Amino acid sequence: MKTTGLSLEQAPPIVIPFKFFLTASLFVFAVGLVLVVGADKVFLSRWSPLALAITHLVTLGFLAQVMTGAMIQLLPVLAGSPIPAVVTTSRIIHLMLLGGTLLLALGFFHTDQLLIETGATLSGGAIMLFLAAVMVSLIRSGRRHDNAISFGLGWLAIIPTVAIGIYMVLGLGGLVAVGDMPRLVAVHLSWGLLGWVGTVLFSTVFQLLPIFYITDEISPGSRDFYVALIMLLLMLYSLAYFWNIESLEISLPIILALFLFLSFKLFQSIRSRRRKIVDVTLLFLWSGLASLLLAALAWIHGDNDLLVAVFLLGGVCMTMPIGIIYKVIPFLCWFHLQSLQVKQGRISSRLPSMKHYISDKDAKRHYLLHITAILLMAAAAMMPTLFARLSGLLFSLASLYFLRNLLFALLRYRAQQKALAVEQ
Amino acid sequence: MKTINDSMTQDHRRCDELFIDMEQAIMQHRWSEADRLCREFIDSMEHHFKIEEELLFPVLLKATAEARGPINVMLAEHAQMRHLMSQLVSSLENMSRTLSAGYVDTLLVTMQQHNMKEEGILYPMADKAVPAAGDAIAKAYSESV
Repeated sequence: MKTTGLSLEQAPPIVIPFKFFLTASLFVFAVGLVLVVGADKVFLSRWSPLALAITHLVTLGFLAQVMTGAMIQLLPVLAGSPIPAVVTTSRIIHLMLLGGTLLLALGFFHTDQLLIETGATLSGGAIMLFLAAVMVSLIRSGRRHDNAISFGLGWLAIIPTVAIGIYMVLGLGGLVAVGDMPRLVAVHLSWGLLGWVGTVLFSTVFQLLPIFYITDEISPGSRDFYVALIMLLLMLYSLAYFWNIESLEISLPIILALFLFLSFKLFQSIRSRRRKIVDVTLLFLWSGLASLLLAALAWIHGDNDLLVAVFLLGGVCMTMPIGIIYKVIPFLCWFHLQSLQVKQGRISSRLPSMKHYISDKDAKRHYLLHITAILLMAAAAMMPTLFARLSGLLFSLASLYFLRNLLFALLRYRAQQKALAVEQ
Repeated sequence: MKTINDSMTQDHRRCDELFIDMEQAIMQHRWSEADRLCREFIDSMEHHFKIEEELLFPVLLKATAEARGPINVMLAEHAQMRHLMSQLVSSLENMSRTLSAGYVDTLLVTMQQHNMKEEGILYPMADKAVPAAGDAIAKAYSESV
Protein backbone atom coordinates (compact mmCIF):
# COMPACT_ATOMS: atom_id res chain seq x y z
CA MET A 1 0.00 0.00 0.00
CA LYS A 2 1.40 3.35 -0.96
CA THR A 3 0.91 6.00 1.64
CA THR A 4 2.59 9.01 0.15
CA GLY A 5 -0.77 10.78 0.11
CA LEU A 6 -0.44 11.34 3.80
CA SER A 7 2.51 13.62 3.40
CA LEU A 8 2.09 17.30 4.20
CA GLU A 9 4.86 18.06 1.76
CA GLN A 10 2.69 16.91 -1.09
CA ALA A 11 0.07 19.63 -0.84
CA PRO A 12 0.60 21.80 -3.94
CA PRO A 13 1.52 25.45 -3.23
CA ILE A 14 -1.53 27.46 -2.15
CA VAL A 15 -1.00 29.89 -5.00
CA ILE A 16 -2.29 27.20 -7.42
CA PRO A 17 -5.89 26.97 -6.15
CA PHE A 18 -5.92 30.74 -5.64
CA LYS A 19 -4.86 31.32 -9.25
CA PHE A 20 -7.56 29.04 -10.65
CA PHE A 21 -10.31 30.35 -8.35
CA LEU A 22 -9.44 34.04 -8.88
CA THR A 23 -9.49 33.52 -12.65
CA ALA A 24 -12.86 31.76 -12.30
CA SER A 25 -14.29 34.77 -10.46
CA LEU A 26 -13.05 37.06 -13.26
CA PHE A 27 -14.90 34.94 -15.79
CA VAL A 28 -18.08 35.32 -13.74
CA PHE A 29 -17.51 39.06 -13.95
CA ALA A 30 -17.19 38.69 -17.73
CA VAL A 31 -20.59 36.93 -17.77
CA GLY A 32 -22.10 39.92 -15.97
CA LEU A 33 -20.48 42.32 -18.45
CA VAL A 34 -21.81 40.41 -21.47
CA LEU A 35 -25.26 40.50 -19.89
CA VAL A 36 -25.05 44.28 -19.38
CA VAL A 37 -23.61 45.03 -22.83
CA GLY A 38 -25.82 42.61 -24.75
CA ALA A 39 -28.91 42.88 -22.56
CA ASP A 40 -31.26 43.18 -25.50
CA LYS A 41 -29.79 40.22 -27.39
CA VAL A 42 -28.72 37.62 -24.80
CA PHE A 43 -32.19 36.39 -23.96
CA LEU A 44 -33.44 36.21 -27.55
CA SER A 45 -32.73 32.49 -27.77
CA ARG A 46 -30.36 29.89 -26.39
CA TRP A 47 -28.76 29.83 -29.85
CA SER A 48 -27.90 33.52 -29.86
CA PRO A 49 -24.12 34.08 -30.17
CA LEU A 50 -24.16 35.87 -26.83
CA ALA A 51 -25.95 33.01 -25.09
CA LEU A 52 -23.30 30.63 -26.48
CA ALA A 53 -20.53 32.97 -25.29
CA ILE A 54 -22.04 33.12 -21.81
CA THR A 55 -22.52 29.35 -21.63
CA HIS A 56 -18.82 28.80 -22.33
CA LEU A 57 -17.72 31.57 -20.00
CA VAL A 58 -19.55 29.72 -17.25
CA THR A 59 -18.58 26.14 -18.17
CA LEU A 60 -14.97 26.68 -19.26
CA GLY A 61 -14.25 30.03 -17.62
CA PHE A 62 -15.73 29.29 -14.23
CA LEU A 63 -16.36 25.55 -13.89
CA ALA A 64 -13.32 24.13 -15.68
CA GLN A 65 -11.03 26.56 -13.80
CA VAL A 66 -12.56 25.74 -10.43
CA MET A 67 -12.73 22.00 -11.04
CA THR A 68 -9.20 21.57 -12.42
CA GLY A 69 -7.79 23.84 -9.72
CA ALA A 70 -9.59 21.89 -7.01
CA MET A 71 -8.60 18.50 -8.47
CA ILE A 72 -4.93 19.50 -8.63
CA GLN A 73 -5.20 20.36 -4.95
CA LEU A 74 -7.13 17.21 -4.09
CA LEU A 75 -5.14 14.68 -6.10
CA PRO A 76 -2.44 14.03 -3.50
CA VAL A 77 -5.24 12.93 -1.17
CA LEU A 78 -7.28 11.04 -3.79
CA ALA A 79 -4.49 9.36 -5.71
CA GLY A 80 -1.57 9.53 -3.37
CA SER A 81 0.59 11.80 -5.47
CA PRO A 82 0.31 15.21 -7.11
CA ILE A 83 0.33 15.69 -10.88
CA PRO A 84 3.85 15.62 -12.35
CA ALA A 85 5.78 18.92 -12.16
CA VAL A 86 2.76 20.36 -10.41
CA VAL A 87 3.77 24.04 -10.58
CA THR A 88 4.76 24.10 -14.27
CA THR A 89 2.00 21.77 -15.45
CA SER A 90 -0.72 23.68 -13.65
CA ARG A 91 0.67 26.97 -14.97
CA ILE A 92 0.40 25.66 -18.55
CA ILE A 93 -3.11 24.24 -17.96
CA HIS A 94 -4.25 27.47 -16.36
CA LEU A 95 -2.93 29.70 -19.15
CA MET A 96 -4.22 27.48 -21.97
CA LEU A 97 -7.64 27.29 -20.37
CA LEU A 98 -7.69 31.02 -19.70
CA GLY A 99 -6.64 31.97 -23.25
CA GLY A 100 -8.79 29.28 -24.88
CA THR A 101 -11.94 30.34 -23.04
CA LEU A 102 -11.38 34.02 -23.83
CA LEU A 103 -10.85 33.33 -27.53
CA LEU A 104 -13.80 30.94 -27.73
CA ALA A 105 -16.14 33.43 -26.04
CA LEU A 106 -14.88 36.26 -28.25
CA GLY A 107 -15.31 33.99 -31.25
CA PHE A 108 -18.97 33.37 -30.37
CA PHE A 109 -19.43 37.05 -29.55
CA HIS A 110 -18.16 38.21 -32.99
CA THR A 111 -19.14 35.00 -34.83
CA ASP A 112 -15.50 34.62 -35.87
CA GLN A 113 -14.64 31.08 -36.98
CA LEU A 114 -10.86 31.41 -36.54
CA LEU A 115 -11.24 32.63 -32.96
CA ILE A 116 -13.71 29.83 -32.20
CA GLU A 117 -11.34 27.22 -33.66
CA THR A 118 -8.29 28.53 -31.79
CA GLY A 119 -10.25 28.90 -28.55
CA ALA A 120 -11.73 25.41 -28.78
CA THR A 121 -8.33 23.87 -29.55
CA LEU A 122 -6.59 25.68 -26.69
CA SER A 123 -9.21 24.97 -24.04
CA GLY A 124 -9.74 21.39 -25.26
CA GLY A 125 -5.94 20.95 -25.21
CA ALA A 126 -5.77 22.29 -21.64
CA ILE A 127 -8.34 19.77 -20.48
CA MET A 128 -6.61 16.88 -22.26
CA LEU A 129 -3.27 17.92 -20.75
CA PHE A 130 -4.91 17.95 -17.33
CA LEU A 131 -6.37 14.47 -17.86
CA ALA A 132 -3.01 13.13 -19.07
CA ALA A 133 -1.28 14.61 -16.01
CA VAL A 134 -3.87 12.98 -13.73
CA MET A 135 -3.38 9.63 -15.49
CA VAL A 136 0.39 9.80 -14.94
CA SER A 137 -0.17 10.60 -11.29
CA LEU A 138 -2.64 7.72 -10.89
CA ILE A 139 -0.34 5.22 -12.61
CA ARG A 140 2.60 6.37 -10.50
CA SER A 141 0.79 6.10 -7.21
CA GLY A 142 -0.89 2.76 -7.81
CA ARG A 143 -3.22 3.50 -4.93
CA ARG A 144 -6.95 3.66 -5.34
CA HIS A 145 -9.09 5.91 -3.24
CA ASP A 146 -12.73 5.19 -2.46
CA ASN A 147 -13.64 8.04 -4.77
CA ALA A 148 -11.54 6.99 -7.74
CA ILE A 149 -14.46 5.52 -9.70
CA SER A 150 -17.02 8.31 -9.30
CA PHE A 151 -14.47 11.08 -9.83
CA GLY A 152 -12.73 9.16 -12.61
CA LEU A 153 -15.92 8.48 -14.57
CA GLY A 154 -17.08 12.05 -14.04
CA TRP A 155 -13.85 13.39 -15.48
CA LEU A 156 -13.87 10.92 -18.37
CA ALA A 157 -17.23 12.41 -19.43
CA ILE A 158 -15.39 15.54 -20.45
CA ILE A 159 -13.70 13.64 -23.31
CA PRO A 160 -16.90 13.19 -25.39
CA THR A 161 -17.89 16.75 -24.43
CA VAL A 162 -14.68 18.17 -25.88
CA ALA A 163 -14.64 15.77 -28.87
CA ILE A 164 -18.20 16.66 -29.90
CA GLY A 165 -17.48 20.34 -29.28
CA ILE A 166 -14.46 20.27 -31.59
CA TYR A 167 -16.42 18.26 -34.16
CA MET A 168 -19.13 20.94 -34.20
CA VAL A 169 -16.52 23.68 -34.54
CA LEU A 170 -15.11 21.84 -37.58
CA GLY A 171 -18.68 21.52 -38.85
CA LEU A 172 -19.20 25.28 -38.52
CA GLY A 173 -16.04 25.78 -40.60
CA GLY A 174 -17.42 23.45 -43.27
CA LEU A 175 -14.64 20.90 -42.72
CA VAL A 176 -16.98 18.06 -41.70
CA ALA A 177 -20.65 17.52 -42.31
CA VAL A 178 -22.80 17.80 -39.20
CA GLY A 179 -26.32 16.53 -39.70
CA ASP A 180 -28.67 17.67 -37.01
CA MET A 181 -26.74 20.40 -35.17
CA PRO A 182 -29.32 21.15 -32.43
CA ARG A 183 -29.50 17.50 -31.47
CA LEU A 184 -25.71 17.18 -31.47
CA VAL A 185 -25.56 20.24 -29.22
CA ALA A 186 -27.95 18.45 -26.86
CA VAL A 187 -25.57 15.44 -26.74
CA HIS A 188 -22.57 17.78 -26.19
CA LEU A 189 -24.17 19.63 -23.33
CA SER A 190 -25.58 16.47 -21.74
CA TRP A 191 -22.09 14.99 -21.49
CA GLY A 192 -20.74 18.30 -20.24
CA LEU A 193 -23.38 19.35 -17.76
CA LEU A 194 -24.74 16.02 -16.55
CA GLY A 195 -21.80 13.69 -17.16
CA TRP A 196 -18.90 15.89 -16.18
CA VAL A 197 -20.09 18.80 -13.99
CA GLY A 198 -23.04 16.96 -12.45
CA THR A 199 -21.26 13.80 -11.35
CA VAL A 200 -18.02 15.48 -10.23
CA LEU A 201 -19.98 18.13 -8.31
CA PHE A 202 -22.24 15.61 -6.59
CA SER A 203 -19.33 13.28 -5.80
CA THR A 204 -17.52 16.23 -4.25
CA VAL A 205 -20.48 17.24 -2.10
CA PHE A 206 -21.05 13.63 -0.98
CA GLN A 207 -17.40 13.50 0.03
CA LEU A 208 -17.38 16.82 1.87
CA LEU A 209 -20.66 16.74 3.80
CA PRO A 210 -19.41 14.31 6.46
CA ILE A 211 -16.29 16.46 6.94
CA PHE A 212 -18.12 19.77 7.24
CA TYR A 213 -21.30 18.76 9.07
CA ILE A 214 -20.75 15.26 10.51
CA THR A 215 -23.32 13.46 8.39
CA ASP A 216 -23.57 9.75 7.66
CA GLU A 217 -21.30 8.79 4.80
CA ILE A 218 -22.92 7.61 1.59
CA SER A 219 -21.34 4.27 0.78
CA PRO A 220 -18.82 4.52 -2.07
CA GLY A 221 -20.51 1.48 -3.65
CA SER A 222 -23.89 3.12 -4.10
CA ARG A 223 -22.32 6.39 -5.24
CA ASP A 224 -20.25 4.54 -7.86
CA PHE A 225 -23.38 2.72 -8.97
CA TYR A 226 -25.32 5.94 -9.63
CA VAL A 227 -22.41 7.56 -11.45
CA ALA A 228 -21.89 4.47 -13.62
CA LEU A 229 -25.62 4.34 -14.36
CA ILE A 230 -25.60 8.01 -15.41
CA MET A 231 -22.67 7.33 -17.75
CA LEU A 232 -24.42 4.32 -19.26
CA LEU A 233 -27.58 6.34 -19.86
CA LEU A 234 -25.54 9.12 -21.44
CA MET A 235 -24.03 6.58 -23.82
CA LEU A 236 -27.51 5.38 -24.76
CA TYR A 237 -28.61 8.97 -25.26
CA SER A 238 -25.63 9.54 -27.59
CA LEU A 239 -26.52 6.39 -29.53
CA ALA A 240 -30.01 7.82 -29.97
CA TYR A 241 -28.37 10.59 -31.97
CA PHE A 242 -25.74 8.64 -33.87
CA TRP A 243 -27.97 5.68 -34.78
CA ASN A 244 -31.15 7.66 -34.92
CA ILE A 245 -32.98 5.53 -32.39
CA GLU A 246 -35.64 7.79 -30.97
CA SER A 247 -36.71 5.40 -28.23
CA LEU A 248 -33.31 5.80 -26.56
CA GLU A 249 -33.93 9.49 -25.99
CA ILE A 250 -35.86 8.49 -22.89
CA SER A 251 -32.41 8.15 -21.20
CA LEU A 252 -32.19 11.92 -20.73
CA PRO A 253 -35.27 12.31 -18.49
CA ILE A 254 -34.10 9.25 -16.56
CA ILE A 255 -30.72 10.90 -15.92
CA LEU A 256 -32.47 14.05 -14.72
CA ALA A 257 -34.66 11.96 -12.43
CA LEU A 258 -31.51 10.29 -11.06
CA PHE A 259 -29.98 13.68 -10.29
CA LEU A 260 -33.15 14.74 -8.54
CA PHE A 261 -33.01 11.55 -6.52
CA LEU A 262 -29.36 12.23 -5.61
CA SER A 263 -30.31 15.80 -4.64
CA PHE A 264 -32.99 14.40 -2.40
CA LYS A 265 -30.40 12.10 -0.78
CA LEU A 266 -28.07 15.05 -0.27
CA PHE A 267 -30.87 17.12 1.17
CA GLN A 268 -31.80 14.33 3.55
CA SER A 269 -28.20 13.84 4.54
CA ILE A 270 -27.91 17.56 5.35
CA ARG A 271 -31.17 17.49 7.28
CA SER A 272 -30.04 14.60 9.46
CA ARG A 273 -26.57 16.09 10.05
CA ARG A 274 -25.26 15.76 13.59
CA ARG A 275 -23.86 19.29 13.59
CA LYS A 276 -26.89 21.53 13.66
CA ILE A 277 -25.33 24.78 12.54
CA VAL A 278 -26.37 26.68 9.41
CA ASP A 279 -23.40 28.38 7.76
CA VAL A 280 -22.87 30.15 4.44
CA THR A 281 -21.66 27.01 2.68
CA LEU A 282 -24.89 25.29 3.62
CA LEU A 283 -26.93 28.23 2.27
CA PHE A 284 -25.10 27.93 -1.05
CA LEU A 285 -25.62 24.14 -1.15
CA TRP A 286 -29.33 24.36 -0.29
CA SER A 287 -29.86 27.03 -2.93
CA GLY A 288 -28.04 24.88 -5.48
CA LEU A 289 -30.25 21.88 -4.73
CA ALA A 290 -33.38 24.06 -4.88
CA SER A 291 -32.23 25.43 -8.25
CA LEU A 292 -31.93 21.90 -9.62
CA LEU A 293 -35.53 21.28 -8.69
CA LEU A 294 -36.57 24.57 -10.31
CA ALA A 295 -34.57 23.68 -13.45
CA ALA A 296 -36.36 20.32 -13.62
CA LEU A 297 -39.76 21.99 -13.21
CA ALA A 298 -38.96 24.55 -15.90
CA TRP A 299 -37.76 21.73 -18.18
CA ILE A 300 -40.93 19.71 -17.65
CA HIS A 301 -42.98 22.81 -18.33
CA GLY A 302 -41.03 22.89 -21.54
CA ASP A 303 -41.39 26.27 -23.19
CA ASN A 304 -38.44 28.25 -21.83
CA ASP A 305 -35.00 26.72 -22.41
CA LEU A 306 -33.31 29.87 -21.18
CA LEU A 307 -34.97 29.58 -17.79
CA VAL A 308 -33.69 25.99 -17.49
CA ALA A 309 -30.22 27.23 -18.44
CA VAL A 310 -30.28 30.01 -15.82
CA PHE A 311 -31.27 27.60 -13.04
CA LEU A 312 -28.79 24.92 -14.15
CA LEU A 313 -25.76 27.04 -15.01
CA GLY A 314 -26.21 29.87 -12.53
CA GLY A 315 -28.29 28.23 -9.84
CA VAL A 316 -26.61 24.83 -9.59
CA CYS A 317 -23.26 24.85 -11.39
CA MET A 318 -22.05 28.15 -9.99
CA THR A 319 -23.78 28.30 -6.63
CA MET A 320 -22.69 24.94 -5.22
CA PRO A 321 -18.97 25.26 -6.07
CA ILE A 322 -18.84 28.79 -4.62
CA GLY A 323 -20.26 27.44 -1.36
CA ILE A 324 -17.54 24.79 -1.26
CA ILE A 325 -14.82 27.33 -2.09
CA TYR A 326 -15.87 29.35 0.98
CA LYS A 327 -14.85 26.42 3.18
CA VAL A 328 -11.90 25.16 1.19
CA ILE A 329 -9.95 28.38 0.68
CA PRO A 330 -10.02 29.49 4.36
CA PHE A 331 -9.08 25.98 5.46
CA LEU A 332 -6.20 25.80 2.97
CA CYS A 333 -4.92 29.19 4.20
CA TRP A 334 -4.93 27.99 7.78
CA PHE A 335 -3.55 24.54 6.86
CA HIS A 336 -0.60 25.90 4.86
CA LEU A 337 0.38 28.37 7.56
CA GLN A 338 -0.02 25.77 10.27
CA SER A 339 2.14 23.35 8.25
CA LEU A 340 4.72 26.07 7.87
CA GLN A 341 4.83 26.37 11.64
CA VAL A 342 5.17 22.62 12.04
CA LYS A 343 8.07 22.72 9.62
CA GLN A 344 9.65 25.48 11.69
CA GLY A 345 9.32 23.18 14.64
CA ARG A 346 7.05 25.32 16.82
CA ILE A 347 3.38 26.05 16.93
CA SER A 348 3.00 28.58 19.62
CA SER A 349 2.25 31.80 17.79
CA ARG A 350 -1.19 33.31 17.64
CA LEU A 351 -2.25 31.91 14.28
CA PRO A 352 -5.87 32.95 13.61
CA SER A 353 -8.53 30.39 12.72
CA MET A 354 -9.77 29.76 9.17
CA LYS A 355 -12.60 32.28 9.59
CA HIS A 356 -9.97 35.05 9.65
CA TYR A 357 -9.36 34.67 5.90
CA ILE A 358 -12.97 34.99 4.73
CA SER A 359 -15.37 36.16 7.41
CA ASP A 360 -18.92 34.83 7.67
CA LYS A 361 -20.22 38.34 7.12
CA ASP A 362 -18.37 38.80 3.82
CA ALA A 363 -19.37 35.37 2.52
CA LYS A 364 -23.00 36.00 3.48
CA ARG A 365 -23.04 39.35 1.67
CA HIS A 366 -21.80 37.61 -1.46
CA TYR A 367 -24.44 34.92 -1.04
CA LEU A 368 -27.23 37.52 -0.95
CA LEU A 369 -25.86 39.34 -4.01
CA HIS A 370 -25.35 36.09 -5.91
CA ILE A 371 -28.81 34.69 -5.21
CA THR A 372 -30.52 37.98 -6.03
CA ALA A 373 -28.59 38.09 -9.32
CA ILE A 374 -29.66 34.52 -10.21
CA LEU A 375 -33.30 35.30 -9.39
CA LEU A 376 -33.14 38.43 -11.54
CA MET A 377 -31.62 36.38 -14.35
CA ALA A 378 -34.49 33.92 -14.06
CA ALA A 379 -36.85 36.88 -14.27
CA ALA A 380 -34.90 38.12 -17.31
CA ALA A 381 -35.37 34.73 -19.01
CA MET A 382 -39.10 35.39 -18.79
CA MET A 383 -39.15 39.19 -19.21
CA PRO A 384 -35.86 40.15 -20.89
CA THR A 385 -36.66 43.79 -21.58
CA LEU A 386 -37.36 44.47 -17.92
CA PHE A 387 -34.67 42.47 -16.18
CA ALA A 388 -31.79 41.59 -18.53
CA ARG A 389 -29.59 44.64 -17.87
CA LEU A 390 -30.39 44.78 -14.16
CA SER A 391 -29.53 41.09 -13.73
CA GLY A 392 -26.23 41.69 -15.55
CA LEU A 393 -25.37 44.60 -13.28
CA LEU A 394 -26.11 42.66 -10.15
CA PHE A 395 -24.27 39.61 -11.42
CA SER A 396 -21.17 41.74 -12.13
CA LEU A 397 -21.42 43.22 -8.66
CA ALA A 398 -21.76 39.77 -7.09
CA SER A 399 -18.73 38.48 -8.99
CA LEU A 400 -16.66 41.49 -7.93
CA TYR A 401 -17.59 40.76 -4.34
CA PHE A 402 -16.49 37.15 -4.83
CA LEU A 403 -13.20 38.37 -6.32
CA ARG A 404 -12.79 40.77 -3.39
CA ASN A 405 -13.36 38.00 -0.83
CA LEU A 406 -10.79 35.74 -2.52
CA LEU A 407 -8.25 38.56 -2.86
CA PHE A 408 -8.67 39.52 0.78
CA ALA A 409 -8.10 35.90 1.75
CA LEU A 410 -4.87 35.88 -0.26
CA LEU A 411 -3.70 39.19 1.25
CA ARG A 412 -4.50 38.04 4.78
CA TYR A 413 -2.66 34.80 4.08
CA ARG A 414 0.40 36.73 2.89
CA ALA A 415 0.28 39.00 5.94
CA GLN A 416 0.23 36.00 8.29
CA GLN A 417 3.02 34.34 6.32
CA LYS A 418 5.16 37.46 6.73
CA ALA A 419 4.38 37.65 10.43
CA LEU A 420 5.51 34.04 10.83
CA ALA A 421 8.75 34.76 8.98
CA VAL A 422 9.45 37.74 11.25
CA GLU A 423 8.72 35.75 14.39
CA GLN A 424 11.26 33.12 13.46
CA MET B 1 -12.10 -9.82 18.37
CA LYS B 2 -12.34 -6.13 17.61
CA THR B 3 -10.05 -4.85 14.90
CA ILE B 4 -7.88 -1.80 15.47
CA ASN B 5 -9.96 0.05 12.93
CA ASP B 6 -13.20 -0.82 14.81
CA SER B 7 -12.00 0.40 18.21
CA MET B 8 -10.30 3.54 16.95
CA THR B 9 -13.13 4.51 14.58
CA GLN B 10 -15.64 4.04 17.37
CA ASP B 11 -13.56 6.38 19.49
CA HIS B 12 -13.48 8.96 16.68
CA ARG B 13 -17.29 8.93 16.66
CA ARG B 14 -17.35 9.36 20.44
CA CYS B 15 -15.11 12.42 20.16
CA ASP B 16 -17.40 13.73 17.39
CA GLU B 17 -20.41 13.50 19.69
CA LEU B 18 -18.62 15.41 22.45
CA PHE B 19 -17.53 17.98 19.90
CA ILE B 20 -21.13 18.49 18.74
CA ASP B 21 -22.40 19.02 22.29
CA MET B 22 -19.61 21.48 23.01
CA GLU B 23 -20.24 23.47 19.82
CA GLN B 24 -23.95 23.62 20.57
CA ALA B 25 -23.24 25.07 24.01
CA ILE B 26 -20.87 27.67 22.53
CA MET B 27 -23.38 28.71 19.86
CA GLN B 28 -26.04 29.17 22.53
CA HIS B 29 -23.72 31.18 24.81
CA ARG B 30 -24.00 28.61 27.60
CA TRP B 31 -20.47 29.41 28.70
CA SER B 32 -20.07 27.40 31.88
CA GLU B 33 -21.50 24.32 30.21
CA ALA B 34 -19.30 24.98 27.16
CA ASP B 35 -16.28 25.06 29.48
CA ARG B 36 -17.18 21.75 31.03
CA LEU B 37 -17.96 20.10 27.67
CA CYS B 38 -14.77 21.48 26.19
CA ARG B 39 -12.74 19.91 29.00
CA GLU B 40 -14.55 16.62 28.47
CA PHE B 41 -13.90 16.80 24.73
CA ILE B 42 -10.21 17.61 25.16
CA ASP B 43 -9.80 14.79 27.70
CA SER B 44 -11.21 12.25 25.27
CA MET B 45 -9.11 13.60 22.40
CA GLU B 46 -6.00 13.37 24.58
CA HIS B 47 -6.92 9.85 25.58
CA HIS B 48 -7.29 8.90 21.93
CA PHE B 49 -3.94 10.52 21.06
CA LYS B 50 -2.31 8.71 23.99
CA ILE B 51 -3.48 5.31 22.78
CA GLU B 52 -2.15 6.08 19.33
CA GLU B 53 1.10 7.68 20.39
CA GLU B 54 2.04 5.28 23.20
CA LEU B 55 0.47 2.04 22.03
CA LEU B 56 -0.43 1.86 18.35
CA PHE B 57 2.26 3.92 16.63
CA PRO B 58 5.30 2.37 18.39
CA VAL B 59 4.06 -1.17 17.68
CA LEU B 60 3.24 -0.36 14.08
CA LEU B 61 6.56 1.38 13.56
CA LYS B 62 8.40 -1.66 14.88
CA ALA B 63 6.51 -3.93 12.48
CA THR B 64 6.84 -1.92 9.32
CA ALA B 65 9.16 0.89 8.34
CA GLU B 66 6.64 1.90 5.68
CA ALA B 67 4.50 3.42 8.43
CA ARG B 68 7.08 6.03 9.39
CA GLY B 69 5.91 8.69 6.90
CA PRO B 70 2.19 8.44 7.67
CA ILE B 71 2.83 8.29 11.42
CA ASN B 72 4.92 11.45 11.28
CA VAL B 73 2.10 13.23 9.48
CA MET B 74 -0.43 11.99 12.04
CA LEU B 75 1.81 13.22 14.87
CA ALA B 76 2.13 16.61 13.21
CA GLU B 77 -1.64 16.80 12.92
CA HIS B 78 -2.03 15.82 16.58
CA ALA B 79 0.20 18.79 17.38
CA GLN B 80 -1.98 21.01 15.19
CA MET B 81 -5.16 19.83 16.92
CA ARG B 82 -3.61 20.31 20.38
CA HIS B 83 -2.71 23.83 19.40
CA LEU B 84 -6.24 24.52 18.15
CA MET B 85 -7.72 23.07 21.33
CA SER B 86 -5.57 25.35 23.46
CA GLN B 87 -6.64 28.33 21.33
CA LEU B 88 -10.24 27.24 21.79
CA VAL B 89 -9.82 27.11 25.56
CA SER B 90 -8.53 30.69 25.67
CA SER B 91 -11.33 31.91 23.39
CA LEU B 92 -13.83 30.31 25.79
CA GLU B 93 -12.19 32.09 28.70
CA ASN B 94 -12.87 35.34 26.84
CA MET B 95 -16.45 34.19 26.17
CA SER B 96 -16.08 35.21 22.53
CA ARG B 97 -18.52 33.36 20.33
CA THR B 98 -16.98 34.65 17.09
CA LEU B 99 -13.48 33.65 18.11
CA SER B 100 -14.59 30.27 19.47
CA ALA B 101 -16.67 29.55 16.36
CA GLY B 102 -13.57 30.10 14.21
CA TYR B 103 -11.49 27.62 16.19
CA VAL B 104 -14.36 25.14 16.40
CA ASP B 105 -14.80 25.21 12.62
CA THR B 106 -11.08 24.84 11.95
CA LEU B 107 -10.77 22.07 14.50
CA LEU B 108 -13.66 20.15 12.96
CA VAL B 109 -12.25 20.16 9.41
CA THR B 110 -8.79 19.27 10.73
CA MET B 111 -10.23 16.43 12.83
CA GLN B 112 -12.41 15.01 10.09
CA GLN B 113 -9.78 15.00 7.37
CA HIS B 114 -7.34 13.49 9.89
CA ASN B 115 -9.85 10.77 10.81
CA MET B 116 -10.47 9.96 7.17
CA LYS B 117 -6.77 9.40 6.60
CA GLU B 118 -6.49 7.22 9.69
CA GLU B 119 -9.63 5.19 9.01
CA GLY B 120 -8.87 4.87 5.31
CA ILE B 121 -5.14 4.18 5.40
CA LEU B 122 -3.39 3.98 8.74
CA TYR B 123 -5.74 1.71 10.71
CA PRO B 124 -6.21 -0.80 7.86
CA MET B 125 -2.41 -0.83 7.54
CA ALA B 126 -2.12 -1.52 11.28
CA ASP B 127 -4.77 -4.25 11.17
CA LYS B 128 -2.70 -5.96 8.49
CA ALA B 129 0.73 -5.46 10.04
CA VAL B 130 0.00 -5.83 13.76
CA PRO B 131 -3.45 -7.46 14.18
CA ALA B 132 -2.60 -8.58 17.70
CA ALA B 133 -2.49 -4.95 18.84
CA GLY B 134 -6.28 -4.87 18.37
CA ASP B 135 -6.82 -6.71 21.68
CA ALA B 136 -4.50 -4.43 23.62
CA ILE B 137 -6.28 -1.38 22.25
CA ALA B 138 -9.76 -2.74 22.96
CA LYS B 139 -8.54 -3.53 26.49
CA ALA B 140 -7.14 -0.03 26.93
CA TYR B 141 -10.52 1.39 25.99
CA SER B 142 -12.53 -0.94 28.20
CA GLU B 143 -10.31 -0.11 31.18
CA SER B 144 -10.72 3.61 30.62
CA VAL B 145 -14.53 3.47 30.58
